[in-house]
Amino acid sequence: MDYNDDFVENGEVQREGYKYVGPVTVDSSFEKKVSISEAPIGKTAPGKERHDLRVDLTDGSTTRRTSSVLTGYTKIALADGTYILDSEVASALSDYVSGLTEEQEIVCVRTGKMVSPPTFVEQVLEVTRKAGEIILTPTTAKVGIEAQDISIREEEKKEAEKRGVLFLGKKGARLPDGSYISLEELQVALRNYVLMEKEKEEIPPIIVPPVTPPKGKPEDEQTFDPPVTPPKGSSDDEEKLDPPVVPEKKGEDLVVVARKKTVDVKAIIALLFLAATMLLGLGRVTEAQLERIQSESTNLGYSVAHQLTEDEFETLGEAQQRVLSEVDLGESFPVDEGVQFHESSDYDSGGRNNTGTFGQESRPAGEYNVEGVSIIIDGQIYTYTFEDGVNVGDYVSQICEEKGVSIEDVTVRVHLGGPTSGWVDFDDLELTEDKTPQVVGHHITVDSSYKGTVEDFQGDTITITTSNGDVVIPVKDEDGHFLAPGSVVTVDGEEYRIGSLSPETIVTESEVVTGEKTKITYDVHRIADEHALLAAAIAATGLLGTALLSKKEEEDLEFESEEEFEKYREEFEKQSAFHRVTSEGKTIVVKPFVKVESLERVDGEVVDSVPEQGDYTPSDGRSM
Amino acid sequence: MDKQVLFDRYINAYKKLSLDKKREYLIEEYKRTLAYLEKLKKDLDIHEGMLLNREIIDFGQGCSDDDFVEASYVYLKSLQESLGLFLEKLSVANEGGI
Repeated sequence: MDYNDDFVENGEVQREGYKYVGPVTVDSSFEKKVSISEAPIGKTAPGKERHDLRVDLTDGSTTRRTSSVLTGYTKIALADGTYILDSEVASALSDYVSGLTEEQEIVCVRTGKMVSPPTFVEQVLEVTRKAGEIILTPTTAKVGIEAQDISIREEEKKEAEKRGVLFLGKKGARLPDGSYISLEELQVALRNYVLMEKEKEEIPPIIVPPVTPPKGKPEDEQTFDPPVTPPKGSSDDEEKLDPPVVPEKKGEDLVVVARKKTVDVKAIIALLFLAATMLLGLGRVTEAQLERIQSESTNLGYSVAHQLTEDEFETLGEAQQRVLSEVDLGESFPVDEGVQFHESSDYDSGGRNNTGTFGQESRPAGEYNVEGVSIIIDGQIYTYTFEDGVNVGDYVSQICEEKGVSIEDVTVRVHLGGPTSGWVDFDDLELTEDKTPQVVGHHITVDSSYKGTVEDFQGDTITITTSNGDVVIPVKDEDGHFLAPGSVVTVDGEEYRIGSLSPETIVTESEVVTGEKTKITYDVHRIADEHALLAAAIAATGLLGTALLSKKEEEDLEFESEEEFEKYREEFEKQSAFHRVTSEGKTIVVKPFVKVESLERVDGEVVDSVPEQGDYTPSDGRSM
Repeated sequence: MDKQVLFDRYINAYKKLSLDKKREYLIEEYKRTLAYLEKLKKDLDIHEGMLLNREIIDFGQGCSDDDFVEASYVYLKSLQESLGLFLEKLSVANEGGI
């Protein structure tokens, strides 16, 4: 921390006439918290780093995790940590300053200067807010469950940016909508201040005594020497009115006592406390402001196709090829009882046809090696092989290609080995491959296409009108992102393919009355300390607040040139009473008519009666 | 003793004060005068209030020269206006007058 060297000596906070009380702390038992921490989600591209944010919401003792803020590869300038409701912070700070005693002062560590409570509150909030904020608002998405929109204003940035939707689940974890600022930054900001207390000493009088008070005047009597004093008699009696009687100071010490004979110091103090209390209470000035704001809406262009999907099956030949490919020569396969074998592979086309069945004594059912394969085309043995390792499917495919015939036009028989063996039909082998044609793909046809634009798009669905009625099509994934082109969504068993989704952000500017804004505009303690007499004099007239709240207008009148100063002075002088009575060529005649209740000595003895109320005009018409 | 002599002595004593004290006395004189004028205005049923400006708040112990001059200027102008109202009330118009 950047300390003021004159203020911090030997590591201790010092200030003349004050003693160090302790650090400035506020009640930090905030109930509503939003916690964020970097937690990448999903696959990460090589050499890149995701910076998604995990979000936890805490309400009292209950903490629930909710949707993450998906930032992808973009690093958001908002520190991990706990964020607390801005209004709760302001309230906690106000509670703190309200609890200070009259002798206690908040002092800035860096400057060593006292900071008024309102300024302290304002500065702490300002510094804390600079570190960024999380803003929760009612969601605009139609999600069917409880949710809140989350926006983030990054550090040092002015505008917040919407970052997604927090899905709160069935149990809900909703926190109050509003701005949340960093608890850690608040604590850092508070470390810039310390609390000090005025050491007990003789309290100087609030009313500064006159530099040369008349001798013998009671201190609690607010008196003054009158410029003129009324003569005895009526105002019509000019002889008696001129010259005015001036009381002799020597000897009797005559004074004119005004209506309020004394100024009650205690009353002034009470008044000041009252004013200070009121100012503390009213320290936040509510005012309506006209602001130029931007609002954003989204127009969503879309194209969606209703598609029909049909299964695509392999051909019989393809199915046969697939099944034949399961067998390699030399492998053994189980053969069931009853399977016929023949002496020749062309037994049904004129070949030798000694035949029998497995399951008999000489050829029991069981495992037999596939030794050879014979290909019969048009009833003739076209070729055969007994080479171990030959894949039957490849062999048949090769022969068909060579012969220029379809696999469906050839008959394939295999020779099962054994002491006595024979040719069997390929289909009699117990194969795992399904010999029926299998689905090898899908044939998609577009039934109907739909295009359009949804103005002021909100939520996560669009509605298209089909021949069967309106169909609601989801267009966002569970993370709130628009679906990619080509995505297929199924609604009521019908498939719809997303052709394109083109969100367009529309920015609209408008001037609106933003309603109430809170500003802290004035200093309480210094008013009480420095200007007691003046404050007392003007508080009763209600001018104090007006004077103190005029800063904004003054700021608006800031200028640099003397010419401008002269211009403002002239404008003021048009309304100036002093200017009116002192203008060149003006002559005024003083007509004193000071109202006096009594003329008495300072010891309280009335030495003269009060004239009748009325005007008194000097006979000589003195002029100024 | 001649009033002028007394005044000179008085000012000489003022000159020996520290700058902060000089400022303090000056402002207090402004305030005293303003308060008296304010009271007189009340007695004369002058309801127009005292002109003020928050620059007076900036005056205090250790304030800058700028703050002090600004506060002094505000007090002076306020005094002038109160005096002007006072004189207007205490005056009667005659030819060429107000």
